[in-house]
Amino acid sequence: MEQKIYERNLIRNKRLIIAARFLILFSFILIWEFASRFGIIDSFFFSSPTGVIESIHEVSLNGGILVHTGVTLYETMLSFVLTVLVSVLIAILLWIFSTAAKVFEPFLVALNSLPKSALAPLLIVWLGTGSKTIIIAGMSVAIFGSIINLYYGFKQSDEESAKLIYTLGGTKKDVLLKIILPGCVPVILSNMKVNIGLCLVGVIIGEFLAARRGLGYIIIYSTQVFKLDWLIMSILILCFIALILYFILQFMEKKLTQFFMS
Amino acid sequence: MNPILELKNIHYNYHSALGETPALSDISLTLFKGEFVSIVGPSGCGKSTLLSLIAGLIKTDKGSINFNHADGFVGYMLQHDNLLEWRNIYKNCLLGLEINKKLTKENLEYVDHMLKQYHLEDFKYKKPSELSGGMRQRAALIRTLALKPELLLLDEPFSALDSMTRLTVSEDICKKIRKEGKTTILVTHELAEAISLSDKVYVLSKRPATIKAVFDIHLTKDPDDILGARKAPEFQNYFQKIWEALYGTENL
Repeated sequence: MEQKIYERNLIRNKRLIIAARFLILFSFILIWEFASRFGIIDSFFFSSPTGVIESIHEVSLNGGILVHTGVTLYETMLSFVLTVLVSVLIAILLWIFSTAAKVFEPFLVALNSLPKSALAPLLIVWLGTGSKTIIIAGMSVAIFGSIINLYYGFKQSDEESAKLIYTLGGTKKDVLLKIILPGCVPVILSNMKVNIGLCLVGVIIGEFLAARRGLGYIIIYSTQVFKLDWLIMSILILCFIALILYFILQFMEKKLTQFFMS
Repeated sequence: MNPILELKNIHYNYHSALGETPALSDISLTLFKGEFVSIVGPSGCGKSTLLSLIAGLIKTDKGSINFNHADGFVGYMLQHDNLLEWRNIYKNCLLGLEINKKLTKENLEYVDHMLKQYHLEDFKYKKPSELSGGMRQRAALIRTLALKPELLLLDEPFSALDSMTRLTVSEDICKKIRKEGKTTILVTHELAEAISLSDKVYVLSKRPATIKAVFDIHLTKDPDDILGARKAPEFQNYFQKIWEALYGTENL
């Protein structure tokens, strides 16, 4: 009986949270629309929901917006996947060769603190203005911090558990495969959550500077021609992309945790 | 009869940036098949170091360790169960077999048999955090025994348990180990536990540890009745002698 009441309250609470989220979103859109219609804000600078929808319609007519969104999404995903793979690999190598890790530590910290937008112009000179440059710009923002976080995560794994592996006749390889990697799944996942956002930042910076395609390019272009409807539309699409990426990661987190906990 | 384990004049020093700390000094010890031996000593005297040496996790500075069993495995059970939370109990018990690539049908049956014997079969697919301390300790023991060790090293395996559980779990576990005829070294600082479980008790001194005294334990009791050992007429006498060997007479 009490369990039922508890469960009902739990469900009610969940619904309340979702309802509140939509309420905030819709009232924001409504207030925005009214404010621009009644001249409280200047719709030239602040656009309006209908303005955004019109410009989506306008740009999709000449086929652009889907392609630009697709390009940004593709570049972000690719730089994210590469960042995760490369940084896990390097963190494992640093864990294996602990002396090398000590040697490289100050370099990694310095590279991580560097404002990566300063690197983007250099990347353009080196690699040209193609997709490759954008993807590497995306990686450059996330990868150094990712390596550092993963390496510290690996290092903080329980030493007693490592000793256990040795008492069972195992080697350093077994410590890595049976203790470090499965034990660090939460670290890797939270690291991925940070990385996806950073990769998106890097890709947009890259597109600002070097691209002829992608949402970053649209943002720069629309400021130059003062089409602020387009600019705000791009920002909204970016919000949407971030949301989708967040849900993809949440799904992956569930799957990975299930896989390692079974 | 050949001894299964022979330590001769073992010395061991710990090294750190601050200098050298002698941990073990001139330890000699002989162990025959099927013997159950306890090592007692003050905390931090180097008991665990001694076990790590025997298990081959660290190497001696001086002296020799002979383990007279060509392909025998030394099972070392650590103080904490270290069950891995992302594996269920069954998978935790299989960890050693997995590492040594010995997941044969016979070994899996042996693990199943032990899970039944130690009353854990209903908890096979539970997570470690869902089990009590005593159950976790038993699961950790199964993990060690699954590799069929010739020699079993127990490093204060009951110290994480509360005193009530400790009595029943230590009786239960040690009875089963004795029944299987496993040669065992138990490190503990519970004197009563050492006397009631073992054939022989080694007393170590403070660091650097040396062997201060050795007691052969003969109690008039049913060998299976480990709790009853504490009531045996000789028990108090052993307790007093070992206490004196450890702390001297003035503290009694």
